[in-house]
Amino acid sequence: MTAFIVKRVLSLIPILFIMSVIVFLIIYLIPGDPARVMLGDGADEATIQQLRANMGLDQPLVLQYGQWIGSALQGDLGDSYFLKKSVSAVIGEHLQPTLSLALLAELIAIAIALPFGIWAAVNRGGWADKALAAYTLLGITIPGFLLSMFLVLLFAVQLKWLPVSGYAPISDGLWNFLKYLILPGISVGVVMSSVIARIVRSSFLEVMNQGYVKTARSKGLRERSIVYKHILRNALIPILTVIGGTFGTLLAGAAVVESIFNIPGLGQLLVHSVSRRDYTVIQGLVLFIAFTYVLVNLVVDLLYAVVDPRIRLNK
Amino acid sequence: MKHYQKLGIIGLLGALLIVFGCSSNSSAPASSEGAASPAESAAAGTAAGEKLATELKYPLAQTIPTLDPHLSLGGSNSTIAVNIYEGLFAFNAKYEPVPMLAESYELSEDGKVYTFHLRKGVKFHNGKEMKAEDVAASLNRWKNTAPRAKSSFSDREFEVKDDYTVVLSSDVPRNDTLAQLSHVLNFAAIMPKEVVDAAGPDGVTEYIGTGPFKFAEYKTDQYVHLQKFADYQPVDAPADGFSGKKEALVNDLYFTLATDNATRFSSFLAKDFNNVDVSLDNLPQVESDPDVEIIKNLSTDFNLVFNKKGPLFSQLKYRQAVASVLDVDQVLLGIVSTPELYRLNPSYMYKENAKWYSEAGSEAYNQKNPDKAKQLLQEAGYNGEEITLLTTKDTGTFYNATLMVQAQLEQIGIKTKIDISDYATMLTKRADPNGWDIYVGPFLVPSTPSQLLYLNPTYGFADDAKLAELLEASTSAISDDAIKAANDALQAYEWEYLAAIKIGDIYNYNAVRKNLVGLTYLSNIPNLANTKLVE
Repeated sequence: MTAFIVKRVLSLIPILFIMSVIVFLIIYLIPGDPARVMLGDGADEATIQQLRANMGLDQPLVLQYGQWIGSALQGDLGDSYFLKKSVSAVIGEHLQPTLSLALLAELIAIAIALPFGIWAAVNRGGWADKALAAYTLLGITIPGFLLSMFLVLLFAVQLKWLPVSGYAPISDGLWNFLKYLILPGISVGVVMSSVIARIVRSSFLEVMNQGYVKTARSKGLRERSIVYKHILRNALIPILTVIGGTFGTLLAGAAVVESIFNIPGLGQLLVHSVSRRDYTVIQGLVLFIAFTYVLVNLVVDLLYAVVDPRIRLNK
Repeated sequence: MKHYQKLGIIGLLGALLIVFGCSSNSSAPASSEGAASPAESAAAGTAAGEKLATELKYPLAQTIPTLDPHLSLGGSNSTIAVNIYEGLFAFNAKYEPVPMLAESYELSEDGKVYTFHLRKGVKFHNGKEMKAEDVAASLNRWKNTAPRAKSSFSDREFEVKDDYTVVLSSDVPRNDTLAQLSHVLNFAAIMPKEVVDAAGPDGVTEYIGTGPFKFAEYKTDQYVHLQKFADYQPVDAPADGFSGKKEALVNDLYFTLATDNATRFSSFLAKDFNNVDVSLDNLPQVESDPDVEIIKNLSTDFNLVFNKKGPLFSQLKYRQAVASVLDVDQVLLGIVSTPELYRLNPSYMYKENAKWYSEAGSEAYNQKNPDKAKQLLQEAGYNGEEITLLTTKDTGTFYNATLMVQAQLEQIGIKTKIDISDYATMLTKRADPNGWDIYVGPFLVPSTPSQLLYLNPTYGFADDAKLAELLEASTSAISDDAIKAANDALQAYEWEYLAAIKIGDIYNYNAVRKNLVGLTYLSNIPNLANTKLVE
């Protein structure tokens, strides 16, 4: 197992290196200049150039990249031009909201998708199955922002049960923390659950037809035991993949939902940083997101190996 | 199955009814006492022993590029800065400079030397008394840093005469000096000398002023928190615009960033915010609410700026052709969607700004004459060259205005294309004389001709000797009559030279809950000093 983990971790290095080059170059290809944004309309060229020089933007690209990646390898992603803080600190500040939202949404999604998917598979062709088909169709087709607005109007504006937008850290108390996250969590979780439930259903159906399930049934095992002990474990790999994928996407920045609910997460940070051309934050953040994405995939891969020992033996 | 489908449809319709059905009545309390105007409420409020909220949240629609008042031209910066900082002067509602941190001033007979006498006993938020060295250091940094100040002050220096006197001399009279010192954009904020000395090119690191609120915290992209400054020294004069008496009536003031329009409005409906900007779409939801007052604010003026280094618009005839065809009513209607929210105005200044408002040359305004425009194009030798209209969709108004202008140009046979970028990219492109021809956009708080960006060579490249000479003459005139004559001459010539074409002034709607008392706006920037929230 250790060799498997080491091999998987080492394979991440070239991916991250290529990603860093792409991130660095793409940003410099976008026109727009942080000095000009900061100084605004009417700033004269000399002042802009002075500020550019101070930010190090007048250096050759290769030199800028070398300095950036060299510092990044030592854990220093540079300082934000606008926020006057280290990029790591800025990312740290915005990580908790995104992570909390992603976890809550994932929990909601799994809580809906697993029982619903299993129920539909077990009752294949029945009304539960049709209800799932309708649910997934709605979940996939309704834009996330529309569902968000609907939830806000219903639960925040009309019923006044929950706040419209904002965020409270967990240090402000559990209820305070949760009340801001419930609506965005549901809004993201419902959409995610429709994707996961489909996979749960199809993966379940595939396993249900395997010979060992029939054998278990013919041995007279209880149906409950067959579903949860035999089928679920073997159907988990595609389900883990899709859960990992959705979680990775959420961490990568649910910019729309963060914007609608005014959650100061990584997605919102990225949007604001792009509009300000805050290069160091964009670079650090995209690198961080890429790193997180591959890390989530790594965890999913390792979980495969836990769920199905054949995988680690093959590798 | 049909049974479930029906149930589903009924459920969905029910939910929709709950959400949308009672929206216009839902937030309307039965109380009729709340129907008093803000002014009446304010008067009543001071008399009655009412309970006031200690915290107020104000929604900010735009991110804050920097909190340094000398550096930023953005309205979001000014919205915050006017509460932390004060200048030597401040505008009243007629855009007239009124002493704020200055006790008084003297102007030499030749109009070249300003002597500012400072108020004594005014304290900074760090407890230090404001002295002349702080004022001189702040204003010298401001005039070297702020784009708006550079053109007027670059050859002058604020000098300390004694602890409470600052002198500003120049070779020529500058009648815009006090207006520049009062402007809320690129705010001439006074801060302690040590803060100025410690500032790098990318701004100050501490936000210390003399205003009614002191800076407490900036939570990145979430909120800026200000707190009441207990030792604030108000001036002894009635509040008017940004001038006069200020009194912090809440302990904690939060400028909460809410960039999404729908979220901002929903937060207002849920009473998280007590005021909000209102689009026409949302207006019906609040205008019948007796608890809410709709305030119409003069927001900005709109201008069409030519790239006068471009292949076509470097030639006057092409600029005249555009001026001939423009139907500004249509453009303004395209921006705000209703005649209620715009007004025609041929002057580069607002009508409220009586000293500088002028109708000279206005016969060239709003001509709506496509035949004349076609004739001018023909005389200029137009040969189907494509022109580029530079714009952004980051705010709705730039793009809508550009679309309306595009339609009118195509009407006379000019080939056009629209170059849409995000705001940051658009700024960069506009600074480059290659690649664009026309830019249509809003210009915030014009107060004197010397502050009009498009009259100088760096913005749209108005490199014209006569324009520069007339601009100089309008700024150096001393008596009121001479100022008026010089300003009329400048505006008349600007309508001939057409560095830019004035389109008009627009308003916007703000919804304010009636328990938010005393909030006033000047050029869409709120003055939250003297604003209280009744619980």
